[in-house]
Amino acid sequence: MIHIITCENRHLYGPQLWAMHEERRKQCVEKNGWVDLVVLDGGEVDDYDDSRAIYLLGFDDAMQLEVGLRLRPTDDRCMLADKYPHLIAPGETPKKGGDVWEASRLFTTEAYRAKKGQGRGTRVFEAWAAAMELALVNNVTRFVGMIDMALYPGIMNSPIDTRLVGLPRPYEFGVVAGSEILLSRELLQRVRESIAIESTVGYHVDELDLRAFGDLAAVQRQVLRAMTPQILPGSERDETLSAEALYRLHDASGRARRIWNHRDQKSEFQLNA
Amino acid sequence: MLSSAEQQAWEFLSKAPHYDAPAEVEAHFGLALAAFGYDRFAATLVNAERYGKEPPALSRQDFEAWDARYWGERHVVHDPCVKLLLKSSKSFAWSDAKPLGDQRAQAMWGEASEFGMNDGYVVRVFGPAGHEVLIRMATAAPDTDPANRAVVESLATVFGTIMLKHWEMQDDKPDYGVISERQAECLYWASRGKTDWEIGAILELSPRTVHHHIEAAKKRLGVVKRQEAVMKAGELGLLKAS
Repeated sequence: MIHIITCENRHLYGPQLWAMHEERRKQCVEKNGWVDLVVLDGGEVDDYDDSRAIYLLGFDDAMQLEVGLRLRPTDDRCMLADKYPHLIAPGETPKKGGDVWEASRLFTTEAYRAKKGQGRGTRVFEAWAAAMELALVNNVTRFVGMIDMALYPGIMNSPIDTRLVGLPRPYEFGVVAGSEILLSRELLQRVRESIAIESTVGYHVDELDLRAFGDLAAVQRQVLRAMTPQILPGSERDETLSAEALYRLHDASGRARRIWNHRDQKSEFQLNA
Repeated sequence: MLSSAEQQAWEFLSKAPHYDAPAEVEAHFGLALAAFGYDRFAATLVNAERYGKEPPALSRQDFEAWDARYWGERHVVHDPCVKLLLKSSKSFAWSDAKPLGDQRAQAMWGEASEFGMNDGYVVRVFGPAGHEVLIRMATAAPDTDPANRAVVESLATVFGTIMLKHWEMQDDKPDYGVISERQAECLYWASRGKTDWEIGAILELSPRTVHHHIEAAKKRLGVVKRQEAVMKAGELGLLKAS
């Protein structure tokens, strides 16, 4: 499961977002050596961390951060088009617009990378799958971004077709290129297949979820169990959903029951809906 | 505006993932590289523990004679490029390595010049299954412009990645049955709930190659979904562990 964090539920994720900014400092400033970035109180922050930024974060069972990705609409500003236009070849389609989102600040934590066993190597693709789900329901057709060419072999070997949008150029710490991903249901399906996931990956937690289950870790547990395919009667998912239904049916305000009734639409969170 | 050399490079970078045959990739890479003055190149599959033995070549253009001399004279023993390769994963020019060499290395550079190779550029590409491709490019007229170097490095990175993929795809027995042996192995592990990354780790393939094998198997079995391919292959008795 990947948590979708927008301006609407950002207040529920204070410590987690702080951990993300800290991790970005470790990755971008300390590991990649991009020393020209702004570090505020130990966390890396830039101009694009505004109210329109959407964060996709993945956590382990103890809510320790494992993966992060930032998306942002480009109808007003775009880092690639505005700050690095020399990375875009002449004649390329515009990299700003209502149907284009910019993807940036993708990272995995060191603790996650050191992990062994099942699920290794899948978190990044979970984040991308969640990003694509969210983008597709918001009628976004393309992601644009920038990549360090040292990472390009891995990107070319991934299930996500990523094309360069211009000639790579040197920068202080390596070689960078503009990139673009054309979004489609088929691509989303391919990414899900490659990580052996069939259901929706992203989830937009709201206050009612927290009221129903207690805290973010509990919500994550419930969502993960609800995402577990029901293979046999009496499987873990059955019991979980029964318990969940029982809880929500006893909710005096009736609001939890409404969530339950509309649970199918919940996964397709729409911005400004 | 892009210069003519940059146009050539952009042509290769934008189209390379769609070329079908390795020969086509090689030909276009050669053209793009020549526009930057590099008239010969070699891509070899190496791993750190294999330094000292002649590694298998994935592609070579006008590099055979120098390679024969290099290995025949055992220049590898005192080649300062090897020291740089062991020290860092970054790309480098021969001129970056020259200060690290001794007198024998100087003699080696002199011999290389006799072959029309006054400078060169070395790029490393790391495959997700642990393979490493070393791309060596040589030129008679060195170019130190960092923008051009960045483009040459990117060309080599894309070239090496694609050649490695083609090499992985060759390692297959197409006559296993309705599907090839590799396809059957990939489907077997997919049937055990493994992801592309995990299957790649088991079979020493990149996740993208696993994806290609499974997509090819889906076509051959006439199904749309991966699960259907697994079911169909199972029914036909084609699921096979390596």
